[in-house]
Amino acid sequence: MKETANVALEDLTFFGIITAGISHELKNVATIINESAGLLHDLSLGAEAGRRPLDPARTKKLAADIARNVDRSVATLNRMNRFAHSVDEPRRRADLRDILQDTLELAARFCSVRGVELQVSLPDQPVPVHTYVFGMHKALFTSLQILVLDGEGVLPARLSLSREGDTACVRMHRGAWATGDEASDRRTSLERLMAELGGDVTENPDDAGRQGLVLHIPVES
Amino acid sequence: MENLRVLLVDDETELVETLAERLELRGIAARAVTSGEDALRLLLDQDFDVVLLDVKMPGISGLDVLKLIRRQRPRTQVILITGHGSAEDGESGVRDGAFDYVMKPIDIDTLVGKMKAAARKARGLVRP
Repeated sequence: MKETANVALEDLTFFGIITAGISHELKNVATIINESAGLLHDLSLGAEAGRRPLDPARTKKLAADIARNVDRSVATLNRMNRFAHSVDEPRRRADLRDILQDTLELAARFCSVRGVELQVSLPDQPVPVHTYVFGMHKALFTSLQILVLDGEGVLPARLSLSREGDTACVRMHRGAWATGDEASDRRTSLERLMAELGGDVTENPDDAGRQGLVLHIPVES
Repeated sequence: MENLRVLLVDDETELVETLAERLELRGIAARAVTSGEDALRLLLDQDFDVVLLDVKMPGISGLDVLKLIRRQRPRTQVILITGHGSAEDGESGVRDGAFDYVMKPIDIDTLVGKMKAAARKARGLVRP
């Protein structure tokens, strides 16, 4: 019973972190649109009062800025919508590249405010999985937390997805991993999540000797 | 207020550039940078009445930049920008020495009013 409550709390915490990031992003976009619209208004008032003519090139640029930020907000809302629906089905078919890409976008702010730049490599071909999408988001985000919060040394951190036979491998590398209670809890949580998803996690250094984590996820044939 | 000089610091380039232009139209000399590191570098040899500083930025955080400004340029006043839904971050910044804070999206008239009040304090025109 206590374990179920802990998992529910962990899910809610994860949901909270992701939605806080989304709201921050949307607020930034709203702020940029507000300032661009405000500047258009200021320039129009100046022209109306005969202080300076309205520059068509400047006006077009500001309109384009607004349109681009509306697109940015729609992309964020679409990601948020996909994330919200990731709990709908206990398992469904999905392309692991899409899930990973959405997780990376949703976690972009989490990484950037901590000064961690990611070098990401995804395969050209789809990586089909039959999985609980919310659980997969959570496992991938927990991996990112380990990479960002517990990883030490070399930047950019590396993250890659590849297909090796019946298994998809998500590899993450940094110079070394920190130890300590929180780091250990995150690692335990990731191991449990991966087991629930039918996969596992191992530690593998890369060719350059950087410490790495590899998530193994069964691929749907 | 004559020749009000402000430094805008936010990692959203479009935001600081547009805001700088709006402030210029209101007679305020505004410089824009997109990181705390750039702001601190600029503050080494340039004087500003007010720094408008985003709380959450990649690299050195806004609250850490605030503490360094308070040490390096004690007369320069800092107004924080917070994207939080609550005033928690801003109020915590004020306890750490910020003059005031504004929440996103920014209301330009409110911001200009706060900048003028902050500049009066920076120039010693009001008692602290």
